[in-house]
Amino acid sequence: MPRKVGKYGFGIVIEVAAVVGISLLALLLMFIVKAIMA
Amino acid sequence: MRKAAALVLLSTLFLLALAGTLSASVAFTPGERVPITDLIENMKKFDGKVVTIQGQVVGDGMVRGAFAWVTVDDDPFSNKSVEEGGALVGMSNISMSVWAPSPDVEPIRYYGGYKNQGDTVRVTGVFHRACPEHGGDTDIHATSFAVLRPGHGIVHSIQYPKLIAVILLSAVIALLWYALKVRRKSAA
Amino acid sequence: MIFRPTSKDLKLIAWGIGRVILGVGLIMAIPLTVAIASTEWNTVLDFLVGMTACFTFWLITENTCKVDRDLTWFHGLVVASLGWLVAMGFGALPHFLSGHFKSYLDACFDLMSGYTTTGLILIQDLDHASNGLNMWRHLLTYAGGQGIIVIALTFLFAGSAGAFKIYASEGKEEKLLPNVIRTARAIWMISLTYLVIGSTFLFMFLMKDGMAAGRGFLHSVWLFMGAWSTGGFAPMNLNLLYYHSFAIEIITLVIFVIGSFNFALHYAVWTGKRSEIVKNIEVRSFTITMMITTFMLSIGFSKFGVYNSLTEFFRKGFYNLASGHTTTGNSTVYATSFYKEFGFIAMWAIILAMAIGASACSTGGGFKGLRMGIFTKSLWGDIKGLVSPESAVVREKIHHVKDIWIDESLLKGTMLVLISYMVIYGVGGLLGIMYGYSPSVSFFDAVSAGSNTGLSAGLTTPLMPSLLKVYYIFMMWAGRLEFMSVFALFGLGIAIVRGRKVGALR
Repeated sequence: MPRKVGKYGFGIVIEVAAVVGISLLALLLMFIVKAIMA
Repeated sequence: MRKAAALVLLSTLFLLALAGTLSASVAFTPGERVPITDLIENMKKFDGKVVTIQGQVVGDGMVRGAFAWVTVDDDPFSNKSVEEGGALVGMSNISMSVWAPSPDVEPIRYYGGYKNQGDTVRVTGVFHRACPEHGGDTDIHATSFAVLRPGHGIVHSIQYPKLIAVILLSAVIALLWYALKVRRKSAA
Repeated sequence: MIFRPTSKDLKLIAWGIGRVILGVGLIMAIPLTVAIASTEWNTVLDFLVGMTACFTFWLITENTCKVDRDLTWFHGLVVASLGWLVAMGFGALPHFLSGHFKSYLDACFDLMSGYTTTGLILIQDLDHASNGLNMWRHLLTYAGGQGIIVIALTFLFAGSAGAFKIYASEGKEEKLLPNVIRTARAIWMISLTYLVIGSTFLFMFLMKDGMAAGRGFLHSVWLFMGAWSTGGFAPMNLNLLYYHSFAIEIITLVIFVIGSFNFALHYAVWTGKRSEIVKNIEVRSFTITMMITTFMLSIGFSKFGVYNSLTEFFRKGFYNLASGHTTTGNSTVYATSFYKEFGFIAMWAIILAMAIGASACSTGGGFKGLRMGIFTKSLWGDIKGLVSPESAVVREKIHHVKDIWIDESLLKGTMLVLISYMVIYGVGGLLGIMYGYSPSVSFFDAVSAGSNTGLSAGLTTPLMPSLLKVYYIFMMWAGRLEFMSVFALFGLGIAIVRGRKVGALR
């Protein structure tokens, strides 16, 4: 078992943050498109 | 006077009958049962209308406060499931989600699954193509929800041919294992 | 000069496949346990038959095909490609015995769909399926995502050099760690950690949303496996729509997007190289193409007018788009809705996203973000070269854990695979059209199969033509293996037929 993977708790936080970030960007984009097309 | 009245009455009846036959293929009568597959294939037509469906409840009744979600299937398997020996008709299931008042859902005894055929229910309510209250989900908000027939447990009798196959194959495995051990011993 | 494989070569391959089938038999112990715990005795028998059949095959190969030599690259490739097909045949036994499949072909279809983490299904009456069968279906995607071969490697080949060759030929060339066995174990450790955390969150919210504890537990594990592996299976016919839960949608979204990331990326981020998450070319490529397709989809939704609020755009649009782009296949709408409620523009945004696919060395399918990055950067380099002085040398590099220069051979390999995907997508779409399906629906399902996504616009049903079923199985298999192993298998066939016997050289 690789030794250095002790910080894996934080690894999960980073990855979840990345997904949340992408989702928020997309949400913003959808909001803008909706506003323009309305 | 009477002749005129009779004429008006007859004409009205005739026109109604004509309208009825003409619209039979286009409209539907609210309160009359619609197969769920019609709803799914023609969501635009039924959107916002009052419809009635009838079928088996499956899975879970998910109570969320005053209301609950139940899933109703009305495919051939809801009459006779594969687990009861029902014929394979070429589909998975035809399901519709119903948002009903929790007290209406409470009396349900059986939900369909491997071990049970669920209760048969009849639901009348407003169909939504993309329900704004539920994030765009396709659903029916029930105004009337009734359990027509209770479900029942499915009896699964042991399928002996499978048991025999297991026993036979186990014997073969034992033989092959022994042969392997002999082979390894002689190689050593 | 092509040499005909000797009987020793064929024996070696058969022996390797035997080991893979042993692995399949062993993992059947899990659904067996679930069936016993659920007192589903006929399902127990289904799995016992499956297991004994697998062990019998394994013992036959151990008895007859043991050879002194070690596997070479070529053997590895063939075991990987042929092994998937044989594993499909054995794995389909419990499916077929359950009675929920019209034919053995249908059962094999669902097996290949599970192993390749596609998610298209031909199972009938899913709402009445046993817990054992559902455990097997979802476990297949979890195991298939890790690569059945990785499983076999971890447990069965300890120490042998042949192990690496099979692993690499499965399409995961990332050398996380020098020792391939340790790499396989690292992949497992990351997956198991997410399994525990992901399932726990799903369980908590399923409870809150009104599910009973026992069913909630099973569903949380199954939904996790389906999402993490980017398989897209769910235990009920309505897939994710069944739960009517924004929370469950968000959690599965997070799980399947993370699940679609490259394992090397996970390893880098988890061992302290945190900046990798923003520098990695696949994360960047995914973000960019996700934004482009979101833009397309939003325009489509706005014009078509069925979905109106931002919430609906997110829960119906973004969720299904992300599910498509990561090649997961979990959906919150009916199949016909992709055509009738989404409209043409949004539907094609999803097709494009599916085709591009997820990350390399992950459970995802499609072209892969890495290839999109290589291709785009290389094209950019060519454009720069056109406007630079003749004597200038333009070279591009990409960042994927480390910096990599794009050279001719990398580009050639990339283009070969990209073209192969486009060909299979195209043929699949055209076949569907020939059978009378509408072009949009035809391409939607064909790209879904070839990219191992699993969303369906309604073409994939038990009633679809058998030839299409066979072609879809081929697409799922070839797409998952990224063609290299498939080419090797064809090479073997040609060598058997046309190769010179080694002795003839004298």
